[in-house]
Amino acid sequence: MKRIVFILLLLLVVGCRQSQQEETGGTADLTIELLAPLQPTMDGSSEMSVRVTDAAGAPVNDASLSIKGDMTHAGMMPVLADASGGEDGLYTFPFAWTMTGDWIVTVRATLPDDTWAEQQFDLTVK
Amino acid sequence: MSTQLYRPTPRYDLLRTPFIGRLLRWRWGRLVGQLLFLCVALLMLYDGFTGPRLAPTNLATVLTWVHYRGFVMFALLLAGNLFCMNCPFTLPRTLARRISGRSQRRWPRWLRNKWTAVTILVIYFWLYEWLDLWASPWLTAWIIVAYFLASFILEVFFAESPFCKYVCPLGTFNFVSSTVSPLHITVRDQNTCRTCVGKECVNGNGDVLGCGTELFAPQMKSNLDCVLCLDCARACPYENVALAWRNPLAEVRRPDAWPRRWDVNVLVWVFAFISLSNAFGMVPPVYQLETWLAAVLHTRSEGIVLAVIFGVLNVLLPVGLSLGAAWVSRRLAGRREPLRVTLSRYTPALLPLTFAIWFAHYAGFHFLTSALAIVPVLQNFLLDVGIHVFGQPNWALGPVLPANWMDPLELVVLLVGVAASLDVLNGRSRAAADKFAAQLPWLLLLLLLAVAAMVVMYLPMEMRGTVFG
Repeated sequence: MKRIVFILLLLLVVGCRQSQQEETGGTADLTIELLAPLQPTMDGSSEMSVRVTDAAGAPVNDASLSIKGDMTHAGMMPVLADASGGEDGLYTFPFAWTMTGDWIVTVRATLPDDTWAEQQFDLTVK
Repeated sequence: MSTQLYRPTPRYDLLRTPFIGRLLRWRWGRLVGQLLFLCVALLMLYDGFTGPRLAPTNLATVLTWVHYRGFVMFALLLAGNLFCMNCPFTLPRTLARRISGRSQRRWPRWLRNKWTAVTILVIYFWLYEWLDLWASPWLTAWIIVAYFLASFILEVFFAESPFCKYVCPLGTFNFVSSTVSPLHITVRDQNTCRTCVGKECVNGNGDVLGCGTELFAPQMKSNLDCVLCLDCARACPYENVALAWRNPLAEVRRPDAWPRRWDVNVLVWVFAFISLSNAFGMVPPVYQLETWLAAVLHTRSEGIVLAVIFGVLNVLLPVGLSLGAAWVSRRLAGRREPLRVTLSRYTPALLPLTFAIWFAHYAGFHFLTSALAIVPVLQNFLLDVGIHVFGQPNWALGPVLPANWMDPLELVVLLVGVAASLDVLNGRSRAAADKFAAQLPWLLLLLLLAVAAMVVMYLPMEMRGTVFG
């Protein structure tokens, strides 16, 4: 009986989990594209360019972008950046890689009405 | 006629300190720590299986690959084998032991050595590289499950805690490292043990199980195989068992502390070279080597390429170099003795440097540069389960010390390790009345290892897993 109660409690707790973090998501129908760098290098450009468009393909210039670059190893410091005020949907901002290897860059675009969209990009920094 | 050596009463016995001593000797003292660690393990399992798939944002990966390793290294340096003392995997094991009672079989004689531990350690670190365990919360959670299952199953069928003593790679790591730890089990009065009939420290009494790994406290010379469970202290009717402070180099200086066995010596050498190869796996030259080897072997299988690289680094090199050094050392000493004896004489000198390499890597680089990362990860976890009171995660948190302190700090740690190893080497050589020349091959090997460790630590780190996509 105790085991059954334990398993039920465990299932209940697991069921309470709101969501797993997905590679894409959000409440706004936006498309986020990474334009540069597509093949980043440590000694290359330290800027990143992202284009944000709406469902109709029209550029979105009033989004606030928060960018987080994670390395694959647990505990490594992420690289963080923010950007706003796009031109023709294009946002360019400083982004300095701290290490070569595999990175996962997560870009979240939040609109003035607080709806948002998120996209992840897998990159290899050489 | 008694051959008992005189052993003075330990001056500093942690079990006799006012509060900690009572807690440690308390019948349920270990259980408190185990339950705490069990809660953490359950949290890690939960997040590992259901949480974010990005390793730096998941409790399973961050706690395992940053905090567990950092905690273990600091605990071993400042106290002893505290993880095995509080190991949650042995909780179901204790249950299994009580279920099976005395009907358990003995662990097969041919497996009662460290060969299994060496093999598992080598395979474990190969899997770590091949499957990118540090990058997968899901696999990390499965490893935790595997520990629980293996511990339980082995304990149901066999006596003598074979999981801890012969199988568990964490235990193996902690056993070997704890030989340079300041805490050890000993007894207050050898005469009390000599006249003791029940030998409860190893046999147990009605309330407390005796030593799980079947070590006999008055004869213990080494921390090898001691999980620091303190069941011996709880079971002793005379309160004669002590958890005493010692010079951390006392054990590796002592000529008779370790058995002169091939398996024990090979374990230490393999453990030493894994400390290097594990760090080497994180720097750019390993990728150039992987690419070159893949071309030479005409394979795209990362598993095969890594098996070759780490087979050479973790098995062939330590075995070959240690045997070579032993052979040359024996010749230079002019001795006629088995190679195993020469090897056993000098192997313990490797431990301080080996521990320093592990410490610089796990505690220095990973833990001190990332310890505070647990704060945003925990905040993120709480948000995900609907608890908002702790606010949004601040992902900028991470380092405890500035990043530019790391290189000098690691260098200092490695130099202290080299100095301690040289001191032990010289001490063991003099105790055996060996010529100075007999030390030379070991000296050369120690310096080679130290230089290799410094080079690896000073190379820029690279995130792994890029060569084969």
